[in-house]
Amino acid sequence: MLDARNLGVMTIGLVAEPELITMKDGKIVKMRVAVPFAGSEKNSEDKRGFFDVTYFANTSQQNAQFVLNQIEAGNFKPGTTLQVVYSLRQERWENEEGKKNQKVVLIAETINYAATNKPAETGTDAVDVALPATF
Amino acid sequence: MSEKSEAEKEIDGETEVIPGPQTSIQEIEVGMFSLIMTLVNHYKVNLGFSKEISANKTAEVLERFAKVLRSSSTNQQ
Repeated sequence: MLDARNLGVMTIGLVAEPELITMKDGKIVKMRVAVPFAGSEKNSEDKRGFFDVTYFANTSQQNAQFVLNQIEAGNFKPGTTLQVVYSLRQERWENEEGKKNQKVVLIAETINYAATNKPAETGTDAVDVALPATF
Repeated sequence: MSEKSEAEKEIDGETEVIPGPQTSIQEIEVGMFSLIMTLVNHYKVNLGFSKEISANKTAEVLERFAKVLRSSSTNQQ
């Protein structure tokens, strides 16, 4: 459910190839990303935060078609800089010992290349494309 | 001796230079465009564009979206 109270936009760097999962009713894209200035570690200069992003690709939507095409073409390589509109989701669970765990996941609503698609600090080969967001 | 300007102090290493944001104007523009268009698509708002639009229309998109919001808030009163 999209709600403007839980919606933001950020520039991220892919740190691994996206994982594509085919479901009965569409495809799910799972990505591991680095976010600048989102991490904190004692005695470390590394300010990146690392998060999991889930994108439900409903192929009736133009953005989903674009994202799936880019993945199939191999353009979402580690190091690619993307801009995502996202909402936050906190997953909570209890393990077998009864210890409570939690993890923050980003649910991507829209994915585009960042306007200045440059090598992410995380990555290796940047993709030499800078497509504008199109709807 | 005259007092040094801020720029001179910076050059001489007397001022701590704090790195500014790395975000470019284009990045902000595309981000705003994506954010608004995500809402527009989700709530099926008609902004009145006759063909596919891209981030170079961000200013116009913001203007039209603001009009829709104002009109919607007036109707609710």
